[in-house]
Amino acid sequence: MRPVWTHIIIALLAATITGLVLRRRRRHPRIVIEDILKWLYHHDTDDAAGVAARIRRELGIRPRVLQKALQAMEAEQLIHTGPKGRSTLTQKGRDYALKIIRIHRLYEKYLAEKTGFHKREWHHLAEKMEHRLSSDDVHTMESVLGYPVFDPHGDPIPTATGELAAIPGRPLAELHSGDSGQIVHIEDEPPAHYDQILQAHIHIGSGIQVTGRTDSEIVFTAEGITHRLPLAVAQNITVHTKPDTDQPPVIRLSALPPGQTATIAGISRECRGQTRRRLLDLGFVPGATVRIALDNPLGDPIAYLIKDTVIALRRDEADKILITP
Amino acid sequence: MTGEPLHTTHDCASCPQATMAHLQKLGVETRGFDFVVALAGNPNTGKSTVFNALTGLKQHTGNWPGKTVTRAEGAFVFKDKKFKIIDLPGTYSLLSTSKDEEVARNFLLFGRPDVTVIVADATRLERNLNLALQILEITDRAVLCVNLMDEARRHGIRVDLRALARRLGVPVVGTSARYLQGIPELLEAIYDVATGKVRCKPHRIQSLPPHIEKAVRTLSQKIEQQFPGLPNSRWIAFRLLEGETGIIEALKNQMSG
Amino acid sequence: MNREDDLVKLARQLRWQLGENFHDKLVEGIYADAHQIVRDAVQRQESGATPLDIKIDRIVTSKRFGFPIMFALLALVLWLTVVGANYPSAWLHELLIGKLYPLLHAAAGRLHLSPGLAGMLIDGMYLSTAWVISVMLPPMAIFFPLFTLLEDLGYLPRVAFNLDRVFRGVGAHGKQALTMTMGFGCNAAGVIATRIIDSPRERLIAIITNNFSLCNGRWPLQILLATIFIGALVPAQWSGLAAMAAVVGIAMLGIAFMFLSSWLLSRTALRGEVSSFHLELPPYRPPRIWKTIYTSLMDRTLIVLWRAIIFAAPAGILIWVVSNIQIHGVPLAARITDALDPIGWWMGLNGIILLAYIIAIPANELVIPAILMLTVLIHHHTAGVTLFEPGQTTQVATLLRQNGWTLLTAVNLMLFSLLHNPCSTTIYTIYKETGSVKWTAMAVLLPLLLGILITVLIAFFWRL
Repeated sequence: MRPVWTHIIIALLAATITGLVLRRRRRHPRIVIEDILKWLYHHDTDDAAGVAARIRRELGIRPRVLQKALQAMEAEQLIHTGPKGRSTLTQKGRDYALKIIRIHRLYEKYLAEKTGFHKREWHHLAEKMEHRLSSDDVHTMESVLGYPVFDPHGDPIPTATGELAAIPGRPLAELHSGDSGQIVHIEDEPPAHYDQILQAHIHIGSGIQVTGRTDSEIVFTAEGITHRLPLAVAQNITVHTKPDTDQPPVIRLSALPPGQTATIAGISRECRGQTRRRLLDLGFVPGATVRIALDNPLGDPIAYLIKDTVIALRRDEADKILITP
Repeated sequence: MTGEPLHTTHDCASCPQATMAHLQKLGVETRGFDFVVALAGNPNTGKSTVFNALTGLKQHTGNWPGKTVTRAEGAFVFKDKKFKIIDLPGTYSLLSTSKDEEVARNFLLFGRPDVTVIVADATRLERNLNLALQILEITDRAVLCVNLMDEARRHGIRVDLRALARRLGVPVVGTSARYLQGIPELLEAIYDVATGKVRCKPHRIQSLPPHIEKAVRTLSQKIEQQFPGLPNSRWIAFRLLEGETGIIEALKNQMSG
Repeated sequence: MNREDDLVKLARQLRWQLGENFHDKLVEGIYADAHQIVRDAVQRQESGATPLDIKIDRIVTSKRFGFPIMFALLALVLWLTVVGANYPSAWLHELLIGKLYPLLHAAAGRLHLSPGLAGMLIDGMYLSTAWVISVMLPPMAIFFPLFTLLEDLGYLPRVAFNLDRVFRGVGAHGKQALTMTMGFGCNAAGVIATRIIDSPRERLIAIITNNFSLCNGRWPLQILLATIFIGALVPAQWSGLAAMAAVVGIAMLGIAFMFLSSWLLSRTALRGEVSSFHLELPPYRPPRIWKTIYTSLMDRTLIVLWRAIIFAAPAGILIWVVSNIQIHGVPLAARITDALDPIGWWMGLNGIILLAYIIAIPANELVIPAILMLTVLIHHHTAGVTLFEPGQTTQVATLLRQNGWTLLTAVNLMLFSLLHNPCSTTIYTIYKETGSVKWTAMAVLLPLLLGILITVLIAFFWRL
């Protein structure tokens, strides 16, 4: 008798908790409007009927809420509804959208430089904060960060006056065997694709060389490692192609074989904030020589000899220091 | 009055004659000093050993970076002057964001010590100079103490102290503080810089890329215009270009206070 | 007012032009200068032979010898502490309680002190302080200097290096192995030792979880209870071993909780804190043994001892007072313990134990004297000095059994001694080191709530 009751009680409790956690919080009307503005800014589409359906699906907004939001936006002159019922952003709407995008990207930059959140979490946190930060907050944040031009994914950050730097480059998926260049942007959506990029430890700023491609995959080397990515995923990586890559090939410090001496080529753009500063302070500067001083009984961390001092680094850090062997 | 000998210490009958002339070691004493000395250096360079050798205090030092986090203070008398000495936390640099570095940086910048002794490890001088060169941008009254000379000799490393002094523009003294070697010379150098007998012409960081050097110069000139007589306008410019705008406010408070 | 703004404006404009890598270029420039200067001023003769440092390091971090050497050294330090402490402990006990205590009573009689005052000062204040000193001082005076010697030698960073992988697995720093070990001596010292961890997130983890190291103040209680209740479960010839195994088991459980809570913290409350790893392995330096012993005695042992005295003395008075003040013929302590009894029942403990823990917030080592004194004073109205004799466990056992203690009480008390709030010195140290009420509260509540939860669960299932 007792086990049955226990199970029922536990099940009820679990259901309540799950319900509380998963309950979709009703979004504030302003947040709905801001999300729609951002969506419209990113998607230039002609198909009027399709737009409403896609917004509803992709942003998870109920039809009635969407309709109300669009009406409010029309009244605020954020959007202009054309003859076929097609909504386009007005100048005011574009400015508003840019403002939100600016906060989002600055906040991601802030998370990357000043906090320890994993990069997988940045987007989600920024999605929340972009609706909350005041323009004073943003101004302070920008000043603390030193007026960054790009966010950590390589997206340009709009300035306070709405100027936007251009990203030069093409999607990796469009490159062919023999092409080379540098990764300038890694898109963090959709999450499934981004996770694949994270798991491959592909870093922004890496020099790459495409060595082959098939109908479904692209093969390339970056920092001494060969990667194989589905084209759909490679579409999310932007590469600035440079025809003259005479630079000596760099590899990661983690790939340095024992007993060999190498020269530091630099620290990857992927290494940020306090860790980057600390590594520089410790003497991991271009031109310095480095070799393995000690192996670890458990394989990690490895101790390196740099400027007459033995410094142990974990693989994560050693991955972000580039050397020429 | 003129015939009076310059003796400020009366109790020397009770104190044991120190092996080093003119040096009377005091415990912690904080009032009535002639000069303030700051002790800076990388972690694990024997900085605290130098501190103990100078003051006769027995502060614990571990063979381990980051042991001295709080500021230790001591005092000593050399010749006719009383010195207060402050042991700053050991840091690799003054440019980063850690708490220790902030303590050391603020003390050097706003405490304005009469002399800053930079303790460096003779066996890894290059890494230690990273910090030393930063300090020389902040203060023009410094002594470089190249410690662990005994270890360096054992490893076949020869340090040309005079060449170092020439390049750095400040007095350089070699010591093995564990065995109290070089401490008298260090005291002499501290005394000379403190009393103005020796004037330093500290090294300025030279290897910056041209466009950065130009920006630093533009900014530091402007700072000098507005805070005349500031010895470290270049350092302030570095900090401003790093984004630390609060430094101007702090500077203003210091100038008025 | 305006001139600063001009400067800031100019700086902003220049930063915009320079882009983001100013800091990189500045550090690179400084190192380039340093490189040139060193090239001119330093000459090296490469001897070709591998330096002794590297040879030693290759052994102490090797796959084959690294861990055996580490565990052998740790075992040696613990063995020297545990075995070595017995002799001075017994000697101090004989002096302070065997000889001085009766003398004090005699002196009080001669001075015609009122029985109340004499009881408060001698049976309350003196007895608990003397007990704490004789039990606490010897292990401290042995453990800390030994640990400091290993530290001065330069061996401890190698331990952090060897073990980092294990700690990284739970989001912590290899150096936490050392602050944790230090915590076995004293949690407050362990918390201060976390200064060697220069990564903010990992340092907070080490601070908050240090309390899971069973500190010196809690070992005597574990040993006493294990001897009386766990040792009794097995045939007499095995009882010593069983008791020992139980105590070591509790310490191991503490380490398990440390790993578990480190893992949880790094993934929840602390995941936004900055994390950056590097570990310098400094060259070995021969320690100056006498100086080390002297300074570590001064720095750590005496501070720990001093704190025990200033907390033990007032607590001793407090215990005596609450047991002797009568309200309507019932001692105040009895009223409090009666009120706490229901809560104690749920936790498989009793009201006296809970009151003892409240009184012992200043120092864990006071729990045993508090429990024994309260039990004796409330129920038997005698001073019960013989309870504090070493080797008098049978008498203590009888007393505790008479007052309703069972195996459940012992097991839960051993667990609660491991899992409860840090002592007030440690709490204050945590606050000073973190500068944050939030993290201090976390460090207090995490083990306490865990302790309550676990004892309540065990009591519940035990009684089914």
